[in-house]
Amino acid sequence: MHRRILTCLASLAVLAWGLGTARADNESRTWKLSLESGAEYDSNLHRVEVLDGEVAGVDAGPLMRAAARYKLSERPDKRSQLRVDLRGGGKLFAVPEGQSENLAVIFADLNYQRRLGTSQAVWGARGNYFDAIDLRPFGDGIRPTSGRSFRTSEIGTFLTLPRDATHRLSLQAGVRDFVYKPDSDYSWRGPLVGLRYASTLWIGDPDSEEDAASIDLRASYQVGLRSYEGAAFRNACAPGNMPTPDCFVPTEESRADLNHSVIVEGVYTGKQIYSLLYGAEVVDSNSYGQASLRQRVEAGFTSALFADVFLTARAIVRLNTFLDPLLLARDLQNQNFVSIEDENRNSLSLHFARDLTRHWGAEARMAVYSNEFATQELRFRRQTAYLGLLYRFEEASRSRL
Amino acid sequence: MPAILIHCFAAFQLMAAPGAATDSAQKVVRVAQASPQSSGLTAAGRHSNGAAARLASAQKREASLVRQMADLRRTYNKQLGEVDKLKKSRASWRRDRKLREQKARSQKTALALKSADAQLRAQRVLVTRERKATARAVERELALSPSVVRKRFLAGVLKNARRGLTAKPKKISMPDLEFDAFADPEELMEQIALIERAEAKLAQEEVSLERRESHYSHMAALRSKRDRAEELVAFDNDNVRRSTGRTGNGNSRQAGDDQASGDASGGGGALNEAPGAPPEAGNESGPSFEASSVVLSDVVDSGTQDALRRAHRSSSPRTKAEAAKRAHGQVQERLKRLRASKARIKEHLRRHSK
Repeated sequence: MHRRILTCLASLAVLAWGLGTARADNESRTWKLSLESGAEYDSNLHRVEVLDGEVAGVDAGPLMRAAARYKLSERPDKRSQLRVDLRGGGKLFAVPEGQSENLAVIFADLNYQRRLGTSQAVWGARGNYFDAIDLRPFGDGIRPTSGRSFRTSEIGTFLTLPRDATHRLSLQAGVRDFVYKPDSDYSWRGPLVGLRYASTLWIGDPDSEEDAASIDLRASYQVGLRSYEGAAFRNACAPGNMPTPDCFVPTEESRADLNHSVIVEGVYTGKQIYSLLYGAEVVDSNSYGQASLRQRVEAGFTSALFADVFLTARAIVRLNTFLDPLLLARDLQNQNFVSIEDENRNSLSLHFARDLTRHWGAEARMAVYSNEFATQELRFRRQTAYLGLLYRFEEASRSRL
Repeated sequence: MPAILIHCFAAFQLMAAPGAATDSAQKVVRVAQASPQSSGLTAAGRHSNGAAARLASAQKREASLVRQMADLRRTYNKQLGEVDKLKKSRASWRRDRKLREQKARSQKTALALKSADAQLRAQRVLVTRERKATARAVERELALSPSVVRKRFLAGVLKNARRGLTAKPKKISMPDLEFDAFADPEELMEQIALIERAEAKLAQEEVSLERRESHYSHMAALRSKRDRAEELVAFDNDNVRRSTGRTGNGNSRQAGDDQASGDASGGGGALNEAPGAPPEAGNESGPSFEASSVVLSDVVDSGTQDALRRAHRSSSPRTKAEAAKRAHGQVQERLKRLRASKARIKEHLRRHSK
């Protein structure tokens, strides 16, 4: 599946390049390159949960991060648009405890869209690929973990029906594939369909208003079927009994989940940006212990501070409700189940950025993660601090279409 | 934060009045039927609400007539098509009878169309009158310093009312800047007057462009910093990539949302760039860059005119800021030349009078 998607993405990239070179005299094209690098400190690099008051097993250490991004936006003609987004990056820990957490990431996204006839309706196709790869250039180090690498890819199509410039409704359909590398039982694939609505409720006019602002609203609903490679479990214990690992009995059926997700987001852009997002995800599973309701509220704020320094603050609160009993391992070294669905945490992050020159920028980020509204038995705390530089280069060429 | 509430409330009010968001005559406008603080309104407030309601009603009738006209036109075209078809068919008594019937039907439709057209014209006159009356009433109420919420609401009503009244933008014609030392002083005075007139209009445009440049640059900077903050955590593996969070792969805009702006440059303005936005999606609100491209057609070069037109269509604040900056620079340059020319002529006149 991944190979097929990769081949498809590569073919599209070649096609894009071909289109670009063939019609270079009659197009508008913009490409951007950005490179970033910096140092970070992670206070809980294995992201482990511990009993209240315990610190054993929590390792901290510095790391280096680097990433590159290339974005291309091109219009082969007036009615169509092609976008390519390629990214690669990685992080390397400087302490032996963190060697098993070294990670590289590659990401590719291709998007082609075309206006249909004389209408404002747009048809498009897209594909993306994301791969998180475990890096072990210096071995496993001390206290290695199994890593959390995975890859995911998606191909799909969409149709957008704008009522006018300020209201857009998109219908989407596609197929998604997910591979969890440490344990293939948690890998899945399946179709998905979705509906998105985007609207600009208000656009201020700076000619007539001192504090002209805009208000945008987005909402989306997506439903996808996920067919897992692993088996579905059933509850072998009597109803009402305390759940134990013996209650989880594998069946001959494969696990299959129906995943619904809803997101609503409002963004106010004026002298500052305020945003509020609510997301809910319902997992309806045929496997005992996997049904859940996850909710997420995210509040964001961006503002210019002083001396051209910009601050973006983001607070995320997650509330997970497991519809079946959930087992929690207390012995972290002998953890015998996977909790990949639980890695989400509440967080508060502050991002400071300042442009130094036209191409160079500096940035700092501080983040605190905790599990306040999730697992009650165990405690999770993690702080990160990042300081880095960013280089951007952009070139645009336009012809009169 | 109070500003957000105010904007949200005003936006909600405008949502209740779709005519405030579109200038199409076919849209039904329902304004001022649920205005803020309607219980404690002053006489001026009641007057503007009444005027706005009358305007909404007139617009509704206009939209209905437009629909009726469209239906009739469709029917008429169909009937004409039938007549043509019959004319091309083999001659016979039966064909002639049918042709006569079809012609009679089409004539009847033509008469109905004519009558509907007359009604529509009359209705448009009425709508224009109501627009003027609403604009006057709202302006009167605005002069009485209403509350901030009410002011916002009235701004929306006023915008809707003025939309159909706004005259088409006219380009600023540039006077001859050549200095003729042998011209009569009267001619030179006339030239100075023309220069001053153009200068005043250009200065007005300059202020407007400067304001837009500053506004959209700030907006673009905010959005790019916000997007960057999200981009930075995209590789952090913090988000659950198999589930919620934002759609796409962890980063809201990395995979799903910024792919389809109306702007080919695509930078900065991810927020308004919803998926599947038409490549030439228009932005009908906010300042009219298109009008500026007409007004400044004698002042800025063709590339800048294109940039202004693109800015009108684009939802990216960065594209708008760049277009405003480019036009602003050229307007400044032209103003400098106008002023220099005026100074030269004045200097000549001063010396001549001595």
